[in-house]
Amino acid sequence: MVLHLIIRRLFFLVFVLLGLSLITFTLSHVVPSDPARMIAGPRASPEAVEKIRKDYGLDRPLHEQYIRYMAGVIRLDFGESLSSRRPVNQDLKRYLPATVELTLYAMLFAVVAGIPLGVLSAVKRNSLLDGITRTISVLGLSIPSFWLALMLQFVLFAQLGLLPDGQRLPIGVKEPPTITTLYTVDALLSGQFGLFLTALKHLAMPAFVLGFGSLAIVTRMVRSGMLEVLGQDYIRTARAKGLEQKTVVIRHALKNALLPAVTVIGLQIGLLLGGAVLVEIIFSWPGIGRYAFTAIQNFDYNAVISVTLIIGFAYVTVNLLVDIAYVLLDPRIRVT
Amino acid sequence: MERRHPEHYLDLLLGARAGRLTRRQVLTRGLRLGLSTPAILSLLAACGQQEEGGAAPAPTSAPAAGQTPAPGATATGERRLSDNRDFVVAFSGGVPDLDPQSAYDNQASALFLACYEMLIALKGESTFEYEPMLAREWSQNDDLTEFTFKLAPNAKFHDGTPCDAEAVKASFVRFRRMERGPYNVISRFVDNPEEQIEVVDATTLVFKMTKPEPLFLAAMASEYGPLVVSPAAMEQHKTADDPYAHEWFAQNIVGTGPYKAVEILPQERFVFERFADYHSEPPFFDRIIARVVVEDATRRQLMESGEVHGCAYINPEDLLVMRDNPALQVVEYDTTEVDWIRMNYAKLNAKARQGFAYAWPYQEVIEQVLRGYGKPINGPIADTVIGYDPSIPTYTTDLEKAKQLLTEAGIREGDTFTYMFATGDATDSAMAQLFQANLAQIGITLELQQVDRAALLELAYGDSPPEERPHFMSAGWWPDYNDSWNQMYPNFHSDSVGSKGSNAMFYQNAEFDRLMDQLQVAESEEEIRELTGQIVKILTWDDPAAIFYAQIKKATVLQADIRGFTPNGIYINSFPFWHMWREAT
Repeated sequence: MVLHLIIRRLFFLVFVLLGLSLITFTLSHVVPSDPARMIAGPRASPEAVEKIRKDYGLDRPLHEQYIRYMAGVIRLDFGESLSSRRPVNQDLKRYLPATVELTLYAMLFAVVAGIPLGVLSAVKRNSLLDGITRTISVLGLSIPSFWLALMLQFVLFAQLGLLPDGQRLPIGVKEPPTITTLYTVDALLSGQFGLFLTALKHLAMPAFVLGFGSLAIVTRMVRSGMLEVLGQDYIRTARAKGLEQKTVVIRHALKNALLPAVTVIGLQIGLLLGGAVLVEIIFSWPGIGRYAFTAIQNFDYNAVISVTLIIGFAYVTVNLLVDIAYVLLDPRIRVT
Repeated sequence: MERRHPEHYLDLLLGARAGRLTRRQVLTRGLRLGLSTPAILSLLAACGQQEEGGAAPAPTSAPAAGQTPAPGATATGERRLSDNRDFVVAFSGGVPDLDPQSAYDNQASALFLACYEMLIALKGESTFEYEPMLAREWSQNDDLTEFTFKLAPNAKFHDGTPCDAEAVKASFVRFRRMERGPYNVISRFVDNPEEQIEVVDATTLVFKMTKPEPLFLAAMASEYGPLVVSPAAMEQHKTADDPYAHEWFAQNIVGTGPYKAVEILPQERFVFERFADYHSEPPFFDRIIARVVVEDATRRQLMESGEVHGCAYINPEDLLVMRDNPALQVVEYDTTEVDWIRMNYAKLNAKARQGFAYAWPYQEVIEQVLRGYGKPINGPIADTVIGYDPSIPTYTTDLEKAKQLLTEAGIREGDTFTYMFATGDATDSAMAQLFQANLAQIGITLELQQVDRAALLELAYGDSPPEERPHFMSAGWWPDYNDSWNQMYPNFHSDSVGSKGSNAMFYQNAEFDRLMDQLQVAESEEEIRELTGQIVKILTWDDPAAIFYAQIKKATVLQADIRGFTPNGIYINSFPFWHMWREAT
């Protein structure tokens, strides 16, 4: 059944990506813009601009440009970036892992902190702890990430010097050997614990900022789920059987309360992947968010469409994983 | 307007000789008095030596004021050098095209000064004095048709190949023939490089002109284009489709500069290390690290925390605060950039354009919007560019005069005009609102139109007719080298309208064009001055093309212990890395 679900979703994925590419391509070209002029600069002569236009195939009809691009995508060739002058594949290979690592740590923070906070808040409802947790949730939802990023950077980097301003590693520090492309994991796998700590230090602020909003959502979802479950008859029965509070909460309540949270976590991963732009800009984080920002500024069609497709693909894939997790977590759910 | 009494000349001469005047003061006063470049040069030579050696100008907020001996030197005159040999500079955006003969943007050229070299460079703050770079000596014949450069005898490229006269010639042939980006810096003087550039011997190169070229040296000192790349690398990486290996040079750096690239991440950072085989005195810094920091607030924090040592991209609001920080020095300087408001030539007659020029809030814009980072100017030519004519009057706000001229132009109270600017451009928005308020006082309605930046650029550089364009749009420009023609041709000549250049408001004046064509082939500095004066008068008074509201002042922020930085009005936002050093504290 699960296999059937996967095959069906992958089939639909093709249409989702095709639609995404078409919409992004159309929107990019509807905006009146001249990428060749952007590349050449305002001072360049018309001849120099025309030469660039020809070199990059921007002088061809729109449908031809689209077909050529999509023919490349099928071969996993995303074309050449107009703003970085390199193959988009090469750019994605460099920038995507940075965003993936940042997103994973942000989500890890949101889950690891959010679930216990949600559980404690529900168990100790209306206590001081509950009040603090609810305040954190409200702050997480209401504070704009760029403001939090700038404030933390000001306090923790500029004033206290506790954490670096950003970047994945300090300048001059050699990257770990590429195994998974995630610096922290690769550093550990290659036995460079010092480098792992350095990379972790660089991740701390951006991951915290990126994950803070998700933390709030996860906390609230877990809290409300737990409150609902804790009022159920089977929980009362478990307590009546004399089970310890810890066992009742973790083994009986939490597993059921987590179901809605799993959906939210899945959606959040997709959102964070595509929503890290501001955080990446402020922390000079070399991820696809910052790459996309530069690409948009320069009307770099190939890069913009490629990033959109990657994020779309990730979003759909994460949703699929969430659905699979649903089936595994609750056997009552049937795949339809 | 400055009155030219003989005592002014005498005062200038005596002041220069006695060392009472700084080089900048001599330059400014000399230009105001209309002296020719040779005359000013001789005065500068007579000027006191206090600013020799590329020492940093007195920082506006450095803590070293009043020190004796000069900052960084001991009583014996020896410099107190710091052990910290890294210089970290923050850029506001990436540099995707690293080919110096193709890239045509400000940040790229600032980066290139670490690793590539021109034959000569502008000296210190001067916009018409030169110092050696790749060429040790240079000379020209009397009629300015032959320019001879003597190269450093031991110069090498970063790839280890020798940089001799043949290599330099090959690089210039590439620059001219590739026809990318700033190639008009060379094409104006050299159309046939194979014939016009002659290799005399391994270290001697002669550029032969087809007519006298008083500005050729100025062009050779431009940071846009005439930088020498390795022909060996070009040969190695060229392809049938790319005979000049542009694609390879767009991602790799092989020059002769004092620093060699060791890490190139165009959207993140560039790391340069001192080039061991550099042909001249080794620079102080071991490494130059250029970081791309997109966010304004982050750049400021990096400067204030000491993580970054130099940055030319700081907001005026932040500069006002940073001036008071004793850990930093804010070096302010007049650039050759002039900013203006383009006026639609097809929609507004000459009287109307004059009227609007009187209605512009000059003082408010300079004080409140530019925060003092600008000064009044009488046309598109900055006061440090050859041809600047101080006798041309400068517009000031005069609403009565504006109303009178607009009425004479047939404009009635209640008529509506449009000012277009890019969404998110706070400076343009503020200026537009001040202009709107002034016009409202004389009964004219100014409609502010905010459009996406892409749409604005497309409109400015596209082919839509002038009738579909707004009445007003802002612009700014500085010349690639010290040349008034280079400043005005792309913006106002009728050959540059629409997509053919930056003449976005279709300014078309036959007399202007005729004089510009003469200016292009002017054979002496006197002729350039004479023609530029006439042209600027047309552009500002007779048939105004734009509202020229400010000559822009820039600021570079440095850590207080950095020495040897001298700003230059043509090398805007750049750093003379080879002169800079850090004082031990």
